[in-house]
Amino acid sequence: MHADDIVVVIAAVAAIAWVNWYFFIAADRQADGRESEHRDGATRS
Amino acid sequence: MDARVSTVTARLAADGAAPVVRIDIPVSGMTCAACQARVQRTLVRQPGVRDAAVNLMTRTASITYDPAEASPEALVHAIRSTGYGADLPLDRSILEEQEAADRAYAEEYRALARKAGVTLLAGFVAMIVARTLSFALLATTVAIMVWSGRSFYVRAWAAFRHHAADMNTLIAVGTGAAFLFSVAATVAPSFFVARGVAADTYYEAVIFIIALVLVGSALEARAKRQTAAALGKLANLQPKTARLERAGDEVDVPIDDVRRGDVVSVRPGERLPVDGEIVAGSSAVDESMLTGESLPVLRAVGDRVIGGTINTTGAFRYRATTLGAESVLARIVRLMREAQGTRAPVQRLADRVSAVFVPVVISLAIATFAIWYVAVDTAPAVRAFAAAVAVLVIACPCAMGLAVPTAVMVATGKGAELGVLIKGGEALQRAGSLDTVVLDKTGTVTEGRPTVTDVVSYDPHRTDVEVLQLAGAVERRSEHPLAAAIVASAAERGLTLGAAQAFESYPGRGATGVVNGVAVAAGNLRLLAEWAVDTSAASADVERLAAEGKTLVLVAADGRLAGLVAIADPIKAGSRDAVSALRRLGLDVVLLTGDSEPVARSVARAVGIERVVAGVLPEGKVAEVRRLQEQGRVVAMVGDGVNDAPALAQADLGIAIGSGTDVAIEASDVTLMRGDLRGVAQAAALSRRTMRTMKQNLFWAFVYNVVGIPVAAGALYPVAGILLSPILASAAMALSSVSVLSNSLRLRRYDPRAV
Repeated sequence: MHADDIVVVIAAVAAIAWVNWYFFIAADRQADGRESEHRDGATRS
Repeated sequence: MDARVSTVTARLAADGAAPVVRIDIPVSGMTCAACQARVQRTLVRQPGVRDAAVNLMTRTASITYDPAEASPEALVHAIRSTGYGADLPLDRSILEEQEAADRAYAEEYRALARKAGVTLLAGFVAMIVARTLSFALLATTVAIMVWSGRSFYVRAWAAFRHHAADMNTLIAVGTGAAFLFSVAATVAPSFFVARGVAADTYYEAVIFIIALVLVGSALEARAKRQTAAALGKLANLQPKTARLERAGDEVDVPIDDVRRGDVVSVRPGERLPVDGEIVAGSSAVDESMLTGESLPVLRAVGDRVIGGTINTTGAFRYRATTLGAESVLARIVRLMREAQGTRAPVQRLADRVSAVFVPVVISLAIATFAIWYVAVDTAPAVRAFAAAVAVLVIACPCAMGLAVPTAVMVATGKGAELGVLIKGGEALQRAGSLDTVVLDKTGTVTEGRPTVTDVVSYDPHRTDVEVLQLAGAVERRSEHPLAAAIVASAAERGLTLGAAQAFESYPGRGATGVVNGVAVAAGNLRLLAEWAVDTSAASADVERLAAEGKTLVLVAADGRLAGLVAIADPIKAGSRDAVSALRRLGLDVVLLTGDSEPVARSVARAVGIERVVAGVLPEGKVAEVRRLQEQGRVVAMVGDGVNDAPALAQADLGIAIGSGTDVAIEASDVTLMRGDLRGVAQAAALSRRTMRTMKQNLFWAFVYNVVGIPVAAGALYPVAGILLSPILASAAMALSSVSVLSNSLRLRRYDPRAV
């Protein structure tokens, strides 16, 4: 394995981790946040 | 603004929930199941929204919301924030709406076809000049990406901002990566050469990917236009003007100016402009476009006629009854649009898959790149790159998004052609899994109109006709349905009925009276026994006729048996065929009726039904359906939609049978526009076929992705040396959409009447 191979593999792992974080974890967090906002709004009104 | 808030269902539930309102908002720019899922997710999260169903085919979002918490404007805003277009529904008639939808489909198709054509051409040119004019190619590719491909990038970006990814994301990432790589190779080829990598460009791949996706979309748009055209045809049945009688003159007025109660005049060969009731004249009316009934039906004074049907040979005048959105035609068009908009439960599977699919595919593409880069010695970046782009492109889940809605759309359209209105995907799916059909007797298997079948005289001084006349004179004052049959029969024979004096009615037994000085009793054996009439002369006939399932009215004159009148509800012409068709489909058929056992048995024998449940009240019908369901059966209840309503609702599939005018179409899952029971078998056969089509579609769309992704990633390369270029991958992707579509369109050629 060359040095550039190692760089590519590390970058790929990081990219995959980020994609999954962005589309699953962050998306869920955003959705939950919005829902609780709505719940608060509903209680206030 | 609330004009199209269609059902202001003030559904005040038992728990005192607030009333909810439904609105249909047109949504533009959705291209696949992932888009649809995203809009739907966003809507469901809005405050006050109880339920939202987004339909890709009809491009509408049907939203049920609490008006205290949400407004149509807020909902439109929410949809726009996802990157798709939405507008408040306009106050238009159903026909105008249909025309507008047709125009939109046609316009969309033309635009897509134009872009696809130009882009394809550019792709071929790019292939030829690929290695020579790289700067010219760079410029062309930018132009194509901006003009033809812009919508993909705009939508992909909008999705990305919402932490969502869809088919557009795959296309944007795939073509974007290929483009950037090519730009680098064009601008600084020496950088690549110095590292032992050929400075290859992928401009033609970028152009072809966009072109092929556009070709796929254009074909989809064409298919949608074709299926929507069937509805357009229905909507266009209504003439634009009507000939009204005003102050003794006949004047042509626009259809919108016709008012309830206006008298419309129709000449031979003309189409009826509105619904109404005939006041003068008669004619055979061709109702085939609405009911599927191939022969013209005779309509005379007092009969209802439907706007959009064709008058054949006679001329008549009729009074307009229902107009505009309430007309039968408008109701059917609306029902069909709603039906085509609903989602079959099987669709949820496709939705769930697409939502997770895209991020997983992107991850796979990245992994593919890394593995290729590490494994290949010569020009690793180039090969790794091509494989990663191919994975992104081939994974487009559009075939999966089309699998179910296209089948539902084609099948409901096909059903409508046959006079079988199926209310959407869920009804289709349930109709496809039926194993038991419960038929109501009166009005469903039989005509529902008792008719005199036999008249016998036992008095040598009286003819049959005189017996009928005596019975008619007494029964004229009774309100019993059997009495109505006797009076109608006398009227048919042109008999004048005398007036009965001292009339008396004996519920459940009959009636008595004095007709022209003769004391007459007309009723069952019990009544005549009470009057001490000797009925032995009739006993042989009574036994025989009762065994045939007929109801008997014995007639006595001045204390002696005069004769008898037999009444039966004639069996509909198609009932026997219908029952055998249902059996050929492997369905159990049960006859359910409130009538007595012998009557029910004789009808069952005549049409070939073995299982009979007789003597049940309307509540009993519900219980019977439930009992069958508890045995694990999937039950369809077929009834005339009025007294059978509870049983229709209890059944897994409620099928209302009726002329299509009076029947509460809304109450059932399936409505047979013709009174013909054969429609039940057709609905079952069509649904089974449709379910099979849906499963095939889902299977192929899924298998395609499961197989395609590893091949694109290069899994076969070490064994067989097979590698997909990004261009081949995009062609394969377009092909999968087209194959799913054409599989659904095959349903159009299916004829369920052949069962």
